[in-house]
Formats: sequence, structure tokens, C-alpha cells
Amino acid sequence: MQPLDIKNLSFTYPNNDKDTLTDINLSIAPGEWVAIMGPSGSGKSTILLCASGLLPATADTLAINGLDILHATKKQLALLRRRKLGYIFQELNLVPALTVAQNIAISFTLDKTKVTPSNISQALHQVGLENVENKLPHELSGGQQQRVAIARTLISDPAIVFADEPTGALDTDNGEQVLQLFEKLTAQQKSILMVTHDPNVAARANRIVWVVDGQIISTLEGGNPTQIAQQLANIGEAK
Amino acid sequence: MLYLSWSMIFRHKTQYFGLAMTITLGALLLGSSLSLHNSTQHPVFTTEDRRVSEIETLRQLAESSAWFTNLMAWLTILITTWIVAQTMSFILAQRRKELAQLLLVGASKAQLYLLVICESVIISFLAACVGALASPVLIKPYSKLLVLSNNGSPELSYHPDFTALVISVGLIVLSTVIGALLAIRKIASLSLIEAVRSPSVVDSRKFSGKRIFMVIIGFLALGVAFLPTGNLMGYQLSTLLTGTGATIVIVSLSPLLVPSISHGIGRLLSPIAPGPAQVAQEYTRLSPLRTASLATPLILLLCLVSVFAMLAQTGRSETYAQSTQLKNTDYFVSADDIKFHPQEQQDLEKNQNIAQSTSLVTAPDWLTPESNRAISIVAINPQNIKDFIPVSVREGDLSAVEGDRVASFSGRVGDQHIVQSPGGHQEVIQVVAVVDSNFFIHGDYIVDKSTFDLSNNIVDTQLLAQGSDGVDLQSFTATVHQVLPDATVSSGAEWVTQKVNQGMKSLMFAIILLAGGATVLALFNLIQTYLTALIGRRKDIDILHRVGMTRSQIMEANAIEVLMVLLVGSLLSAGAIYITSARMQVSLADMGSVVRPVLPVTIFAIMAGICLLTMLVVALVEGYWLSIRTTYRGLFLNSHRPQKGTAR
Repeated sequence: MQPLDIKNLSFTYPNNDKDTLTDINLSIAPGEWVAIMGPSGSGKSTILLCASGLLPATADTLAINGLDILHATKKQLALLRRRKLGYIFQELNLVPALTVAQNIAISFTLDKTKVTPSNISQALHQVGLENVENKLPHELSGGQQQRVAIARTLISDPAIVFADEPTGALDTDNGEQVLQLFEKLTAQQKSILMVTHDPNVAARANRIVWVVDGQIISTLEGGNPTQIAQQLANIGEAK
Repeated sequence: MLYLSWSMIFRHKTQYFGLAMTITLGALLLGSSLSLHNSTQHPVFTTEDRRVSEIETLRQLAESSAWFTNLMAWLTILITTWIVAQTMSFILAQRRKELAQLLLVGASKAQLYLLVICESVIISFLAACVGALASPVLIKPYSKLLVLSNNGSPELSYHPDFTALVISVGLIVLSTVIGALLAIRKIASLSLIEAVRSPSVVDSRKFSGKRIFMVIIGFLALGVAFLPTGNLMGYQLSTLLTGTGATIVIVSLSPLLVPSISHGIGRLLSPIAPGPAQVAQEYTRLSPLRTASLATPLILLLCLVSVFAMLAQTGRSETYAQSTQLKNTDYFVSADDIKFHPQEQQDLEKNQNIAQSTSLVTAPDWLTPESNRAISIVAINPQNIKDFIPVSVREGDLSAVEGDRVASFSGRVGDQHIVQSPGGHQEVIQVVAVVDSNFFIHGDYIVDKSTFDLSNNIVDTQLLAQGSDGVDLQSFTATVHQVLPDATVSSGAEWVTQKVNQGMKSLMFAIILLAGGATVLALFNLIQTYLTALIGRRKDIDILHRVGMTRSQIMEANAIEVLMVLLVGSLLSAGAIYITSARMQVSLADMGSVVRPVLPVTIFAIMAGICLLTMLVVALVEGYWLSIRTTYRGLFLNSHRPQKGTAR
């Protein structure tokens, strides 16, 4: 079962005459880490938002973990988000009113199942955090919050993680820690679809998808940061 | 889910504290109202050594207490529901992102609704218990107010009622849940994307389906209100309908007016305080719906109090108008003159609860033989009394009353009676009109025939009197006192003034109680709504602070916004009140120049002033406090709390 399968996806923002995305085709295998790159305004984040079901796109196929999300019921979609998807955004999607432990256990709470405090501590330990269970998100630094979001993803065992500029607001050390955690995730056969503008971050992915003007123009596998930066510069000049 | 709800309440305690206070206040009022209502349902007082009229008065006062407390209970439930709906809407609007984040991590919309309902049940149950437990404290002053407003008596027993307290907790929880359900529509439109991006600004000047629906409902209410008034709909109902319809239409259309008003004030104040004026202008102009929502409690309060005041003033005019129609009524004897006859007393003691009495009293000129002539009769229906309007015509026409030969009796129009004097002289009397009144109109003759059936709660009092032309008050009083030593006798003019003043005192107390209750709740709602809106703006205030705005400038911006909101609210409510007044003028056209609706300019200005002061205090205090707190917490950067000694 493919974690993500997109065929001919298009999207137009309301009150916008021009299509933001056109004929996007993208499949991700289990354990694969795919980075989306492109110039500003090319539609990178929009692809991520459409693929993760946050924006309503039109497509021939848009399936996550085998579920056609274009025709799924609201309940199926809620269960999918709860059990099979992970979201790590620059916006730090922690519920501000809940403690770190409550944030990590939220999908279990919604599922009316229990998660033990030791499991929560273990997940936090995996992301390098200790004794923060009872803290509120605003009491943590940006990097710590990002790692809590990753701990939440680790504990809920998702099929695919959607990440938008996951290291954008972090310093070099924290950013590196997050990337190492992503590597751990892929090692556990969890797939990652990530948007980034940083060649060093993109170089850690298995595959890079280049987006220009809402279309995928090429893919690159196994590139190093210099090659990626060069290609990004070329695309910018061509545009 | 309960644990999650509890966590949410705890984290949002600032917003929920205000809501809890409102609910506590509602439960306090409802618990005491229902307790008083229950204790007046079966009034306990002794009939021994009491005049029948006293018993009847006490029974009427108990009924009046029950009616008033019932009204207060309903008003409390309605106002609590409205305030909860309003406050929850604001709280949910501010929590959209948080709720969208819950959606993102897998919550369904149903779970979000359940979360909000659970939160409202927990908060309302706790707050309602506190309010209900405290309500016995309010019972004593509340019952005193009832007595002061002629809606109760110190001889009636008012006491806390446990069942009423339990019911009040249940009703308050129910009304909170209904309020929360009304507010939940705020999250029905929630989309996942709001978890990561700010929602796009909706142009609120466009006409949404909902707003068109509200405008139609408002116009329908106005249409119904302008139907001819008759038995089904008096001018009071048509006035309330007009007020409601006009308010709905104006509130629905208000977002169209808000930008112009804010632009005008912004331009006016920009030479004095350019930065704050611009900030306030942008806040109100870009979110006209939010500004209109802020002004809503103000509009409703001003409209409600003004309509109360208009009805009171008009009621007073009406009372005078109808009283003066009873021409040629020289003297009035109060109904306290009805006493038990020995036979009645015996019957009552035997617990048969049935008694009858008949007596005939004559004034001096009755002793003068006169030729037979018809006496015009105004029949009194004691079963159907009104509380503050002395007389209203039920049947017939008071203009048919002939000169000085006026008497009161019971019966129907056209009924004829033969009355015989102690000297054997007979008169034929005829009923020409039937009026409803709780006052007994007397003149030359007093015929008192009463039947009491206390077991069936029936009191049938037939009273007859005739205008006493040419007899001075002193002589008449002396005659009356021969058989009715305790009777109060007064001249017609005195009586009208006295009763109208008494009725108005009672009415004004009732209105002050109603308007006072509405004012307290509405002001609370105003503070709550405005405070919630300001707290939701922490991040904006922090940004303004960081780009160089001083604390006093932030406070100035808040104060200017208050002025804008007040102007919006005052202008819109003045429009609604003017329409209502015009409708009342049409309704009362047949009463000629005597009855005129009075536009309550003074009350309106006082209430607007109170609202302005309240909002200014909130704006300045919260502006000052937020400008400290947001910087301290560093909400703009969403970063951790700065450690001691850390440079900011």
C-alpha cells in the first residue's frame, strides 16, 4: 500500500483566475523521504497542503495509505488524520492549551484509548527531551516545540509525515536534531513529504521534486547540497 | 473528553471566568426567582380576623408575586442564554486555530462540538451550583423589592425552596448548553487549513444568506407589528414587535454603516492622536462584523431600556386619559369597606367557605325624594382587575354616561336594576358600560353585595354607587362612616391623582427592577465581550508595542475604538427606537392628544453614558495591563518565558 499516490492534481485558490497547481503526479513509497523544492510562490506548500488534505484539490487520484481522500467520509478522514498522518509545520502545531504530555497523547485521547506516561516519556526521550511533560507549549523554545510535534508523530505511528519547512525557525543544532529524527522515522518505514528551500536539508531526502509555476518539472535523486543549490539557482534564473 | 474539556477550561480560565460569573449571576437570580415563585404558589396566611378584601388583596399580591417572579425567571433564562451564546461565540472565534489544530490531529467535528458542550456543561454546572447556593441570601432583599413595587406583601411568606434551587441549576445548565449550541455555528465552518494559515478575510459588506434571512425575519416582525391593533395585539405587543424587528434589521445591516462611522471618527481624531486613531479605525473598518458584534449588547440594552421607558410613560398617559373619562364621579370609597357579616364569619368558621353580605348605604341627597329616573351605571368586574391602569372599558361606551348620575355595579350592558332606599324610594338603574378596575367608584349610593366562596376561590362583589352631586365630601364621608367606619373616602380628583401615582409608583418599581436587571446583565455582557475581544488581540498589541507604540498610545487606540463602538451602537439603537416610537404613535392615534409616546432621551443618554464609562474603564485598564503582559510573555515570538536577567 503506497503511503501517498497523486494523479493529475489541480488546485486554484478562490478569487484567483490562474491555476495554482496543474497536473501534479506524485507517488511516495514506504520509508521514502521526498523533498519539494522550487522558487518562492511556485506552489510547494500548496502541493503539501493539497496532498495532506488540508486544501480541497481536484484530482484523478488522491490516496493516502490506500484511502481515496477525495471520496472518503468525514469520519474516515478524521480517523486517517488521527492514526496514519503526521504533521510537522513551521507553524508548530501544538495545541497551546494542552500540556506537552496531553499534546503527545491527543490522538489516543480522541480514540478513547490510553497511552502510558512511560510511553510519552520514551517518545520525548527519543527526541531528546526530558521532564517537559507538564509544561505548556509556550514554555518551550521553538526547537523544543518542533521536537514535541515529532514525538507526537513518533508515538502515533503514522504511515506518512507531512513537513513544511520543519527546520525553518530553528537554529543549526536544533535543525540537525530534527533531521536526524526524520532519518529515524524513515528507518521505521514511515514516509516523509517535506517542503524546504534549504539545499542542505533537501540533500538529506531520498528524492527531490522540483516545482515551478505549479507544475513538477523534474526530480533529482541523491543530489548533494551544491548540486541542489545550483539547480535552484538555475531555475530561478530561467524564471 | 471530560478530562480534555477540564484542561481546556483551566487553560482558558481568563475567558471562562467572565462566563462563569455571568452564569453564577443568572443562577442567583433564577434560584431566588423560582424560590419566591414557589413560595407564592400556595400562599400561607391566616384568614382569621381578616376582612375579605384583605384576604383577596393578599391573594392578589401572591398572584402578582408569582407573576413577577415568573417573568423574572423567564427573562433570566433568556438573557443568560443570549449572553452565553454571545460570549461563547467570541471565545470560539478566538480559539479557531486551536480547534483547527485539534481537527488536524484527528478530531472530528462531532468531537469538537462535544468538547465545547462538555466545557459548557462543566462550567455551567459549577457556576450554577455556586449561584443557586448563594440565592437564599438574595431572597430577603428580593422579597422587599416585591413589597416595595406593590407586587408582594410582608404578610406573605417568602422562603428558599430546595426544589426550586435544583431546578434553577438544571435550567441554567440547559440554557448554557443552548447558548453554546447557538455559538457552535462558529466552528461549523472551521476548515483544516486554519491550523496552519490565517483564514482569508471575508468581506462582511457582502450580503450572506444568513444576513438576508435575518433582514427578512426583521421585516416580517415589523410587518406583523404594523397590522391593525385589536384584541389580539395591543399596542404593547406591537411596540415590542416593532422594537424587535427594527433591532434585527438594523443589527443585520450594521456592517454596512460601521466603515463610514469609523472613517469619520478616525479622520476627526487623527490630528489629535494620529497613530491610535489609525489603529482604531483599521480595527473597526476592517472588521465591521466584529465591531457590530461588540455594539450588539449596547444596542440591545439601549433598545430594551428605552422601550420599557416608553411603555411606562405611555402607560402613565393612558392611565390619566382613561381616568379623566370617568367624569362626574365625585367620591371614591376604597374597597376596604367590605367586612364579614356575622353570618359570613360563622359560615367561614364552619369551614363552608361560603359567605354573603348585603348592605345599603345612602348619602344625604338620597334621602331627598326625587322622581324616578334612570341612573347610568358603570359596571365593575372585580374578577378581572388590572394592576396599574385604573379603568379600561370592556363593553359599552363611557360617553353614554349621563351627567352626574353615575354609579358602579356589576352586570352587563343593558341590565336594569331597581334599587330601593331605606325610605322606600325606588330607582331604576341601567348598565351603560362595563369596565375593568380594581377600584370602587362611589357617589351617593353604596350598595354592597358580596358572595365569597373561598373553597373555589370565587369572590363576587357587587358594588353600587352613584355620583353625589352637590354633597360635600365631609357629609358624604360621615354618612359612609355610619356603616363603614374604616372606609377611606376621597374626592374624585384626589382619587385619580392618588391612584395614578400609586399605580405609577408600582409600575416604575417594576420597570426599574426589570431595567436594572437587564442593565446589570447587559453591562456584564458588554464587559465580557469587550474584554474577550481585547484579550484576543494580545499578539497585535505586542506587535504594536514592538514597532514603537507606547502604552498610552495603545490605551488611546482602545479608547477611540470604544468611542466608535459607542457611536455605532447609539446611532443604530436610536434608529430602532425612533421606528418603535413612530409605531406607538400610530397605535395611540385614537387616543388623541392625551396619550403621546415619549422618546426617552434622558434615559437613553444616561444608559449610553454608563456604557461609555464601563467600556472606557475596560479599554484603559486592559490596554495598560495587556501592554505589560504581552511583552513579558513574548507572545509575538511565541517563544519561551524569558528567564530572570535575560535582555528583552
